[in-house]
Amino acid sequence: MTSSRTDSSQEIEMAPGGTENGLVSMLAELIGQNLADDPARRAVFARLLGRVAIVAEDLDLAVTLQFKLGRLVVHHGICGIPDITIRTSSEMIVRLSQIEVLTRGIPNPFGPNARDALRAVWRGELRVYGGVRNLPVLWRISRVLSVLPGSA
Amino acid sequence: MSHRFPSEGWTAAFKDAVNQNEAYRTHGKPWTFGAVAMVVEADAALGIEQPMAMVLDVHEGVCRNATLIKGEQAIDESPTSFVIKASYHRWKEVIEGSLDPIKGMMEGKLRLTKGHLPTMIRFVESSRALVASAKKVDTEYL
Repeated sequence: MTSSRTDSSQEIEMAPGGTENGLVSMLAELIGQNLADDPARRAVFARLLGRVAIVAEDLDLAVTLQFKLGRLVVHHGICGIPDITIRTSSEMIVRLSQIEVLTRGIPNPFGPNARDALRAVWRGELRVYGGVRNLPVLWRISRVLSVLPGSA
Repeated sequence: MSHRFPSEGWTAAFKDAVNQNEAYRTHGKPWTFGAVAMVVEADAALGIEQPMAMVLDVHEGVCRNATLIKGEQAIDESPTSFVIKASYHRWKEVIEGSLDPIKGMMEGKLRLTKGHLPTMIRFVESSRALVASAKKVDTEYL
């Protein structure tokens, strides 16, 4: 296993083969720096359990985030049976990390990025499988992935 | 007048293009996070014997200074907040507009080796405006 560049290396690991996939190192880095920045996000991270697959369809890239209550392993490709699978474009993955939030990390459905995401769902350009069954996981992952300050 | 990429002339022309870009002025206005280095990796086959970095001192939508730094050690010691590395061919694709910088990072074609990734992603439109500025420079490739 390879750890990410941040000081969250004890918590976040890249599974073998992950270094060949830029999205693996990018997500490991992003979550690691978010955790380092914000203790509130770390508390959310500590309660995350489950596998979330993210597929960037235009780049033909997939990663699986395996959350283990305060630890994360980022796998190249789909690994195991994901609890949630998000399939969309790379552009939308970036937008999802920019979704505006209200208090306590609750997404603001009226923000421009949230509206874009809802439109993408409507058009079938953003598909979230297992999200309804695993809403707490979906909510928590949106908080650890958000690039906006104070999202947790 | 065309400028060879990478060179001091190209870097100066890039600075001018950034400062003439209205979109960068708008999207880069909240940027107060320090200089950005675009590093072209060494490639002996192309005659690039050592890595070269175009360091853009960008602040609040303005490029205050742009310098070309040569050599691994000089790049490491330069006071930059963000360092993005890629091969010559990848930068060529970025400048020509055929490779989006954020997609390039997702694919591992460009690598952020120094700096705060969440900040970089927050300013994705600003990055794209920088790239659009590079496209305006009359560029002569190796």
